[in-house]
Order: sequence, then C-alpha cells, then structure tokens
Amino acid sequence: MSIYWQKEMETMNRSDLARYQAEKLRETVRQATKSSFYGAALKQRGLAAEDIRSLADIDKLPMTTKEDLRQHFPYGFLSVPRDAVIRLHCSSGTTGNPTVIFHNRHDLDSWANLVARSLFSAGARPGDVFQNICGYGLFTGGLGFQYGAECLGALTIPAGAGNSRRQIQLMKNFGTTVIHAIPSYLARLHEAFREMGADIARDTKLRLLVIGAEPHTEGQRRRIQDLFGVKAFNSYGLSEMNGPGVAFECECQNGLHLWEDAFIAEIVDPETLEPVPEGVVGELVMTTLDRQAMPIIRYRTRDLTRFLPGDCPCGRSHRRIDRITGRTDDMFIIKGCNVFPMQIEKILMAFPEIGSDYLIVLETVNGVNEMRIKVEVSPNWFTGEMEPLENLRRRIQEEVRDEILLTPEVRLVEPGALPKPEGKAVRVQDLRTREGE
Amino acid sequence: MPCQVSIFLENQPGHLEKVTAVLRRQLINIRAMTLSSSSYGWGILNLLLDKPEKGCEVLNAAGYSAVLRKIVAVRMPDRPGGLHDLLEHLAKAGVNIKNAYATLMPKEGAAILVIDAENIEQVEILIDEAGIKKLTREEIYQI
Repeated sequence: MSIYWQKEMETMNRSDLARYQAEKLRETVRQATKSSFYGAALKQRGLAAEDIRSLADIDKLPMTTKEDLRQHFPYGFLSVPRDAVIRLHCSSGTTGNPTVIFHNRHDLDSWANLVARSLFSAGARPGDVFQNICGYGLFTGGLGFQYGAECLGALTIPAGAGNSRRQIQLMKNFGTTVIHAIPSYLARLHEAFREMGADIARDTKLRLLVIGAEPHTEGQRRRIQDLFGVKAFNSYGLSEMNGPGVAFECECQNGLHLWEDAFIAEIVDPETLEPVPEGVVGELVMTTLDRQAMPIIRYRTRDLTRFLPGDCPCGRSHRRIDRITGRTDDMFIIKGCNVFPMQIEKILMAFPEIGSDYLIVLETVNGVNEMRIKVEVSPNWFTGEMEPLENLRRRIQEEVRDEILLTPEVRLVEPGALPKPEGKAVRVQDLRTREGE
Repeated sequence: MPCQVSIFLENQPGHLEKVTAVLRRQLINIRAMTLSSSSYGWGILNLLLDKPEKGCEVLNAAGYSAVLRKIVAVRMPDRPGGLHDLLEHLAKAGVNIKNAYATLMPKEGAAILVIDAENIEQVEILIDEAGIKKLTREEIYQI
C-alpha cells in the first residue's frame, strides 16, 4: 500500500514543482487583482499577473500583514462575488476589527484534501476512527479537521473541546484510533483516564495522535507520547492559510512537510524582510496558490521557524519546516533581554520532576520588573523532603538564567494549581505596570 | 513500619484548610502534625493520621502531591526532662534526627516522639540496639 495520498504531487521533483508554483502564482495574482485591496496595491506598483514569469518574481509583490486584513475587513480581500462564498472563519477581534477568511466550494475541497493528505502522511488511513477534540465554530481546527478526516475516509467524531469523561466514553464506545487535540489538553485527558481508572492501552484502540494549534517543544511531544504510548504528529496551520493542513509531520517525525503545491513559503528576517539562508530561523511568509475566494499574497505569519536542510527519507519532495519556535509577537523584553516563551519551555520540559504546564508571570515589584516562572511539582517525584525540591528550584533557575541571561524567580506550585483553559494555553501573564524598567 | 503522610503545599492562605477538608470528609483523624516552610513560597506538611494509607490515597486523588514516609516513634514519660532522657539515649546510639515532632498520650501519662529521617531503617536498627522501645503501627495510629 502506498504511503502517499497523492504520490505524483507529493514526490514531484523540485524543478517541476518550481514551474508548477510559478504557474499557480501567476493565476493567484490574476485572481487576487479582482479584490479591492490587491487591485489597488498592484496597480500602485504597476504590476500585473503577466509580470510573474518565474518563482523568483515573487519578490516584486508586496507583503500582506494582519493589519491589512483588519483594515480591509470584511470584504476588501474578497476576489469572487459575495454569493459565491459558502464559508467564513474569523478571529475573535478582541483588539479592534477581527480578521475574516472566505472560502468558496473549490477552496473548501482543496483545504479538505490537504488535511486528508496530511493525516495520511502521518499514518492515518481510511477506516480509522478520528476523534476531533477541539473547538468547532469559528476556530479552524474543528471544521478543518472534520472535513479533512471525512475526505480521508475516516469515521470522524466531532467531539469538540473539553469534557474529558465524555471524550473517554466516546473513545471507548466507537473504538477511536486517531485523536486530534491541542498539546496542553492531552495532559488533562490523560489525567482523566487515571481518575476514571481507565487504561489507554487496555481500554482503547488509540494508535496515533495529531497535535497542533499551539507551539510546543520536542520535549512536550515526547511527554505526550510517553503518556499515551503512541506517536504524536505535529500539525501546523493558521486561519489565514485555511487552518490545519499547511504543514504536517510524516511518519519520519523530522520536521513538517509544507505543501508547496498549495502554498509558497518564504522565511525572512523580520526586521529587514530579506530572505534568511536555509537553516536559519526567521519569520514564515506564505502565499496561497489554490484559493479562489480570498487569495493572500506573501502573508507575514509572525511565526518563527526555519527550513530544514536535506531530503526526508519518506520521499516527499516538499520542503520541511522546523516546529514553530515562537512568534515574532510573543517575544517579550524584560530588563533589556529578549525572551521567547519557547526558550523557557524547552528547559522546563527537560525536568521530569515537573508537570507539563507552566506559567511565566511578568510583574512589577517595588518598581522593578521581575520574571516569575511557576511550575507544578509532579506527584511522582515528590519524596516528602525539602532538599530535592530546593535543588530542583535552584537548577531550573540556573538553567533559565544561562539561557536568557536573566535570573527568574522559580515558584513551585501544587499539581493542578496552574490555569488550564479549554482553548490554547496561556503561557505568559504580563502584569507589569509602567513604573517598571 | 509506621508511616506519616507528607504533602507538598504552597504557602498561601486557605491551602492548609483544603487539605483538612479532604480528611474530614473521609473521617480521617489527625494525631499530630508539623508544617515546615521553605523561603520560596512552599512548604511540606507532615501528618500523623489514624489511617495514613487511606489519607494518602484520598489526598492524591484530590490532586495533591502526597506520599507515605516511614517514621519511627518512641515513647517518653510526660514529665520535665522526659524528652532530654530520651534524646540522651538517641544521641548515644548515634541517631541523627532530621525532622521530629511530639505528641501527648494523656491517658498513659506519656508522650511520643516521631522521628523522620532520610535513612529511617538505619535509625530503627540503632534504636533497637540501644534497647529503646518503639511504638507499633497500631499503637501510633490509635494514640
């Protein structure tokens, strides 16, 4: 049995793929010009679709930011008549205008196919029972995986987020073999198994996990694999580029194949916007190649990653990106040090004595900004003695200081003490007042 | 060997109270306790319970990091100098006490000293060799 969903597309040689991308890019620019935003932006630069002769011509095109999407809400990017659109997903818009993405039928079919291809590459097959444990509604992880898993041919359970007991009941009742969930939720689901006295290997048919929608480290993934006793595959997507199905790990688990027939990916220095050399971390910039209702050109994702050099043993020619190491906008500056939460998570996950949840609190104490890291003491490692805990606290503090050159306060807290939201985990709480720094 | 229950707790108002609420619900009686705090916002609560195994289990189920720790308990007369006489024996036997607490047995005019040490089996041997009488599990749990 083939390991590919679409062998020809997934293994196309690089020069054919480049020609294919250039052709699709030309089409995309032609389509995008029908929107008021790109129509004006390209006219201003004197550009037309015919000016795109090769892939290299992409740098003639302007970049698009989230702010552009907001300012031209709701219809400024729409490239088809309003009545040809059959779905929208939009962000919450808690800070100003939301962003909205429209899809026509072609777009939804194309998206579902990419998710099906992604799941297939991770080892899911038609006939699997796929339980989608994530929020439905406007969040793309719900419907995105629903349609994708259906397209694959899996029995797809729209379980939604939360309610761990019901999730476990569904897993048992229908013999769930594949689960998709955000990584921070899986630790809680495992906890619920323990509380119910249920055993994953004995009581379920689970064989594969798909995790995404939340940046996480390799250490976090290993923990999840250890807890569940099955492999966990990393999924990357963002609503501006449909949602899930942008890049996905294959069975080799060494980076995420980014589907280059559907997207052009560039990685640039977020300051200069110049491309970075292969292997160097920068901001991912993405162009849709197969979207009609709302093509987006050179979108600044604000996600930081790098292209992984070399070929993947799976035979897919589409380049791999590294797991997301952070976002340009979740970096914080404290006492003059630039810090990404992922740098801290990486250190914390190497300590088996602590749980998977953590919280970084930034606050102003006596007019000085301080960083406090809260971690939960794992029940399995507690001996009843003071010294091991005190050593643990000191070791965490030293390792974080060596990484970010700033000494944090490390606070050990009781298991379950840290907030466990239903949605994406909140890892940084900024309570600083202006008097600090 | 008899056991106490040791619990990791944050040094926050109301946290101790939540532990005792769990024990009350399960009708578990506390015979003695100590609370030691680190300077970093947390501490360890040691409880001598009438049903330590069950106590530890229900606290774990309630989400606490709680463990059973072996202890040695020895009797002393409830009079001035009682503890001193006992400690003299223990010192001669070479016992190093890391954490200890005492409680009264009013009906018997006696008190007991609970000893918690890293190498507790070794402590037990030293006490036996010195001819000091230990309390059994049943005696301790039913003080």
